[in-house]
Amino acid sequence: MESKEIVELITKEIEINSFLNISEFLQQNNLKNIKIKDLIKEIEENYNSQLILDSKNTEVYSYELVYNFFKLKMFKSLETGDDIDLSFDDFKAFKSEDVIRVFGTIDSEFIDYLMDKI
Amino acid sequence: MSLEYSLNVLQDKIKNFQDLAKERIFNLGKIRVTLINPDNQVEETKLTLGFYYLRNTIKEILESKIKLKDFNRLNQSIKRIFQRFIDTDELINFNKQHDLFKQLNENDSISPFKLLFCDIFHEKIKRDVFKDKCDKLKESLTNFHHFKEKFKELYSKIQRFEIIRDKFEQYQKIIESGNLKVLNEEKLEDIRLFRSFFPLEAYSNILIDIKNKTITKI
Repeated sequence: MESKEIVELITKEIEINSFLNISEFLQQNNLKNIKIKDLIKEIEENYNSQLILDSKNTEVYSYELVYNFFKLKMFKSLETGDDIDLSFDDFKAFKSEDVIRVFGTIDSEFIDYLMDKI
Repeated sequence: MSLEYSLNVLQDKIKNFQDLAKERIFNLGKIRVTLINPDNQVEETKLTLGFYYLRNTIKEILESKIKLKDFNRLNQSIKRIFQRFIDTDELINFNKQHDLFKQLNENDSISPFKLLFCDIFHEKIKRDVFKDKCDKLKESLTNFHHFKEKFKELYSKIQRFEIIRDKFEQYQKIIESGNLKVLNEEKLEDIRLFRSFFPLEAYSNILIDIKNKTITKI
């Protein structure tokens, strides 16, 4: 089975369960002789708007899950007035580029929201 | 969606926001915001200049290798501008005496849970069904591993709801008609899910018998 087909299966599973462990998923689905490195490459290059890998490339999360976690964090910080420190442990599970990318998107949406209010 | 694309979009949004804000709010320059410079020095400046700072910072980040620590400082400055707007009543109509987190979440233009605030939920469904789940999600924000479990639980229910959403009116009509024959022709799990969105007292005359896979009237 090609990497693309396996990533399609991962995407379907993620739609229901929001996250999964790559090795466990391959084992449960009896997918043998698969190079995880190729799957990682496929996800990073072609599926990064739907799937986000953790910093160790062991788990895959739905974009929705990470986006909602960050967005609720931002709402919470607006409520408390505290700054969010993106270098803190809360964000260590993710790669820096994904943290920047998702926060950039959330900031853009919030600026759109402010535009409607002024 | 690449990293550079996200930052370019953000820069465009800030530029548009700046133009609109300058056009509509004459006293924008009177409001002061605190910005964090890349050298970690804190600088207080007029809000209008703050927007220039944000745009220039994004440009600089895009021209060099993007590092989390630089974006961290940029984001802290963006957040302070958000905060400043929310604090300023004449700019944004937020009542900070109330639960701001709840107000933001209930706003259907920015809430991560837009679905919970769509018409069908507002008019027909008991939102309290989700209140506990949303509260637990909020409480788990300090730990991503707890959060992902809570999110999965809530999101999978919302996803299943989306699947039966088109049949919502139809289910309602069938249940209200009391036609058990037609009701039993539908998928039991879907009817059960549909029923779970309503308060216990609604449709209390309908009993879903999971063991015998039938729907009966009490």
